[in-house]
Amino acid sequence: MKKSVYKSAMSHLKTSEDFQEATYRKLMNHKERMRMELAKKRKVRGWTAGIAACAVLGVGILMLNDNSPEAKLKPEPTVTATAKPPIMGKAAVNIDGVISEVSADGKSFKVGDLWVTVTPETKMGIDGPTAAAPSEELLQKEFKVGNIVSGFTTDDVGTGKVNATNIYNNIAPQQ
Amino acid sequence: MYNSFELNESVRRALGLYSQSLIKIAFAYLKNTADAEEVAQDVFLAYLQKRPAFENDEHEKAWLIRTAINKSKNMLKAGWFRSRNPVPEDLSYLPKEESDVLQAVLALDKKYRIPIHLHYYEGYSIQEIATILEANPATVGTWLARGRALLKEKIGGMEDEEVCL
Repeated sequence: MKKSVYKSAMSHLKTSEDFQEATYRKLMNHKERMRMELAKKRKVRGWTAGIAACAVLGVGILMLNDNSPEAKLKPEPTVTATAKPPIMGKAAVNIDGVISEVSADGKSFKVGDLWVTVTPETKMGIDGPTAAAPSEELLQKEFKVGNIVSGFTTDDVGTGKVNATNIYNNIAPQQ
Repeated sequence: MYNSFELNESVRRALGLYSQSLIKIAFAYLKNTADAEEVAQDVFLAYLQKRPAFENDEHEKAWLIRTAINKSKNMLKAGWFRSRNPVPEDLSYLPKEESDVLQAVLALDKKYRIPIHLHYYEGYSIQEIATILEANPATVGTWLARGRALLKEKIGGMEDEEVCL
């Protein structure tokens, strides 16, 4: 036997005619599948990271709110607090309008049909925790025709002449 | 490392150059063409996935043959492969002399069969076979000598052929 006989026998061994093409197609399909799986994995990873980041952010915000001193001081919000406040102003404000006439001594003025007199007992300005800081702009010293005034009196406004208990605002009209 | 285009071209080139070598070495192991082709496909799949860098063509061929041998061994060990009773490969289409020689080589133990295949089909030297099989060159020389002696008993010849170290 010669060497060449074995080599020749092996060379004549029948194999699939389209082995190369079939293998190449299979490899390219596999490669495409791998590429798609990789893209899918990246997408899932991106979503996971995004959701995790959102969760961390959410927890962080919640913790920050829980720890803030303001949050602890503030009373729990109630349904009534978030709802439209009741119209308490009608009871507290019964002098409201534009001054149409001022008395000679400057202590009385007319709003609508009501003459209002400012006495030494009249409280000027607004107090309370949410009141705006007192200012000349909101509460002028002199009552002048055209000023917008609001206040409160315990007297009967039906009489047409009252003493002011409170004068909250006395605002000059805008120029 | 390859880019995608280079890899595709590299695989196509390797397929053209080494398909037959891989099928034949796997056939020498598994004695079945269909299984040998499956192993060869797996080798090219590994090539695509691992993207090995080679120093030259010989290095590339040796890597592919080594991988084919490993995959053939794995297939031989697989339960499904051992449990089946395959129909022997029909070699009747070969000329009688070739068929006899091939049957005789396939009947050898694989430790003699594979070095004989690598030497007589691929033309590798003992040193190169030793590198591919990760074995001692002297051991490879012994395997080749014993393999030839066994073949001589069966079919005669080969007695005056030398294997150069």
